[in-house]
Amino acid sequence: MIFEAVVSSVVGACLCGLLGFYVSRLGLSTLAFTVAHAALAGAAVALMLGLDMTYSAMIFSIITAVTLGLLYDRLPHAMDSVCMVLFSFFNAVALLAIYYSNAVVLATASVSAVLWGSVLAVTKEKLIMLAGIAAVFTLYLIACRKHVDTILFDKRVAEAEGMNVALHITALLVLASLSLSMMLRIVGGFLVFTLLYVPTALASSLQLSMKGQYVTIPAFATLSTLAGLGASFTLDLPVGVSIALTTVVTAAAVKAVAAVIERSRMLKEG
Amino acid sequence: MRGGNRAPGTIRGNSYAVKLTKVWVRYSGSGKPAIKDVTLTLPKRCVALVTGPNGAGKTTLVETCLGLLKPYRGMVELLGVNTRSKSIASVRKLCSYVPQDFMKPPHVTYSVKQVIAMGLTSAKAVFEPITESEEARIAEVAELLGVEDLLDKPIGKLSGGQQQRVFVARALVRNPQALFLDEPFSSVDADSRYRIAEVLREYVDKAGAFAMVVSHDTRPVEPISDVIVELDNGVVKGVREK
Repeated sequence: MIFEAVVSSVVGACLCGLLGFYVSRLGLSTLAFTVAHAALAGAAVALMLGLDMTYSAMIFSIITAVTLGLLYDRLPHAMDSVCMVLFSFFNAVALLAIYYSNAVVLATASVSAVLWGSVLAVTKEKLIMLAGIAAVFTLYLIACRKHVDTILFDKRVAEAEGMNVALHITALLVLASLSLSMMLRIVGGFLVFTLLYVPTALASSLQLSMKGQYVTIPAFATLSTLAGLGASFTLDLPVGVSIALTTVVTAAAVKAVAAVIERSRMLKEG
Repeated sequence: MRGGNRAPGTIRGNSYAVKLTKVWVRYSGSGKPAIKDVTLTLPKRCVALVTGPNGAGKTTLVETCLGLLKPYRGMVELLGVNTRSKSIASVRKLCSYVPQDFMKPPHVTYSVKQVIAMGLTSAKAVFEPITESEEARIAEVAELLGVEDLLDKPIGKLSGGQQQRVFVARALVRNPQALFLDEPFSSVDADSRYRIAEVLREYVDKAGAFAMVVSHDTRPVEPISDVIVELDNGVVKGVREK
C-alpha cells in the first residue's frame, strides 16, 4: 500500500508538473483550473451515486476538456468568461452532490478522497493507469515535438500559419484531465490543481531556460511530494493537504533562497 | 503614381489575395467596433502598405484578413476562401505572419535555426524531418536577412532588431503566397529597414505573392509598395494605387 502510494504520488506529481509547464506556457491555466473542478464534480457525483470516483472524474473532466478545446477555436476571446461560468457550475455540482450523499459519508475515506485526498484510495490498477497516462504523454511529446514547440514558441503565429492549435490544446487538456482525475484520489479535489501550477510557477519565477525548467519541475515535484507524504505519515495529516502545503512552502523557500543569492550576486557586481 | 487617388477599396486586378466586403470587427467585451464597414480588394503580386495613427485598426485588419479575428458583419476572403470556412486553416498554410509583439525573453532558448525551421512545421506530418532542400532554404533566407551568423544562437538572447529579422526569415522560409507583416521595422535600424523592404519586394515579384505591411514609418515601404491603404478610427480613409 505504501509503495503504491509513494510511486503514484511521485509519478502523478511529475506528470502534473510537466503538463503544468505546457498549460502555463500556452496560457491555459484557467482552462486547466476548470477541468480540475470538473473532475471534482465528477468525483462528488460518483460519491453520491456509489460509483467509481476516478472514472466518473475522468468522464466529467474529459468532456469538459474537449468542450473547451472546441470552444477555444470558436470563442478564443471569451474563454475566461466561459471558464468562470463552468468553474462556478462544477463547484455547485460538487457541493450539491456531497450534500446529497449520506451524511455519515462525510467522515469516511471515500469523501476524504474527494475533499482532501487519501493514500487508501491508491490501488495497483490505478497506479498502472497513471503509468499508462505518463507513457501516452511521453509518446505525444516525442511524436509532436516540432508542432508543440512551434505552438509553445508563439501560439498566435502558429495559428496564423495554419497549425491546428486547438487540437493540441485539446490533447494537452485531455491529458491534464486524466492526470488530475488520477491524482484527485490522492491529493483531493480542492488541492489537485496545486500539482499542476506550483512547480511550473516556481520554475518560471526562477527565470530558468526551458531545458532548466524541464529538469527543475519534476525534481521539485518529486521532492515536495515525498516531503508531503513524509509529513502526512509522521504527523497523521491528510495526505493531500500535506503535499499541497509542502509544495507551496518548498516553492516559497526555494524562491526566497534564489532571491537572496541573486541579490548578493548583484551586490558583488556593484 | 499609376492610379492616383481612388474611391476606398477599389483596386485593379482580377486575381485577388484579400477581399473584404462591408466588414465590421469588434473585440469580445467591447461594444465599439475596431474596424467599421471596410470594403477592400487587394490583388496578388502586390505589396500593400497599411498605415494610420495608433488605434486606427491596422493590426485588427491584418488579423481579420488572416481569419484570426472573425467579422460580426460582412465577409472576408483570403486567397479566395471565406475566413469563416473550415478550410481557412489549409489556406493559412500558404500564408506567413510577422506579429507586432514578437520579442522573446532571454529564457526562450530555441536557436535561430529552430525558429526559422518552425515556419515549415505546419506543412509537416509527425516525425517528418526537414529535407536537404529545406535546410538550403533556411540558409538562404537567413543570409537574405543577415542572420546567417546567428543560426546557433538562442533567440531570447538576441536584440529586438535581430529577433525581428529572424521572424521575417521564418515568414519567407515558408514560400508563402501571402505575407502579413505587422510593424516589421519597429526594432531594426534604418539600413536594415530598407534591406528588408527590398527583400520583400524581390520575393513578391519572384513568387507572384502578396504582402500586406503595416507600418507607422512609411518611408522604407512606400517606395516598394503598389497600394497604400490609409486607416483612421477603424475606417478606410483612402486607397492609393501607385
